[in-house]
Amino acid sequence: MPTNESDASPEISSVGDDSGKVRDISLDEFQPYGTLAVNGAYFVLLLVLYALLYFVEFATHAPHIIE
Amino acid sequence: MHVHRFEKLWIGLSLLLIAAFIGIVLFGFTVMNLKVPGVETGETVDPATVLSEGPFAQPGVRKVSDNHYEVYMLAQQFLFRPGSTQPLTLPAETKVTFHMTSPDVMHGFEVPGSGLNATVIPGQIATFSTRFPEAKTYGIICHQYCGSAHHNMQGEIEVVPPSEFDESNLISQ
Repeated sequence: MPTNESDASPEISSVGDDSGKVRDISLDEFQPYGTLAVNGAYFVLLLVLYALLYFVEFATHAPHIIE
Repeated sequence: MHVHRFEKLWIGLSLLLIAAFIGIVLFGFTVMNLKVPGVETGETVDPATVLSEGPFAQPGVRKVSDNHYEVYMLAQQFLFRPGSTQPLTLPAETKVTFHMTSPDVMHGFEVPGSGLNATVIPGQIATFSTRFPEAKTYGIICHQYCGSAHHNMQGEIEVVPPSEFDESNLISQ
């Protein structure tokens, strides 16, 4: 694995003057599916734990405040 | 300003979640008419005379109807009355309404492992209702620091099957 610019692979160094720069993309071409997956998993976890609160609060076999 | 569509998605979901949480709280307090226990009852009492006047002069269990009892309990340094010197006996599977106040300082009422938890404030009456699902012994602890023997302030609730509940110890109305 290259560890710095001088060790960069031939494909990268052949791009041009912008050393180390592969290509420019627009904002919408950038698609961070990994970040989306992490955020999505966190959101789902939040909803699942919120739903489980019902069981913690009301469905245990212990007294709770009814009114 | 251009915002990436992924960012629009998770900003939107976050706002939706906040709106949902606020909506659930508003729904509970309006449509379901939920109340914060003991706060909105408007019942007050004079801590100086609470031991000699009114229902708290005779703390204990009273019968409201065949399936509804109420408990007038004092939390004071460093006892629950009733509850500490002898267990508070209550029937299982029966509605029980607690009324609690303090003649001295602020105390806490908590049955560990359950949803029963109230702050007992001098001058105010904390009120909530519950139903004990099974016959067993529950503990009570004070969860507000109330003085030098706070750590010893504890009690017991002995829940018995409804058929074994002894009504001879009830306080008459």
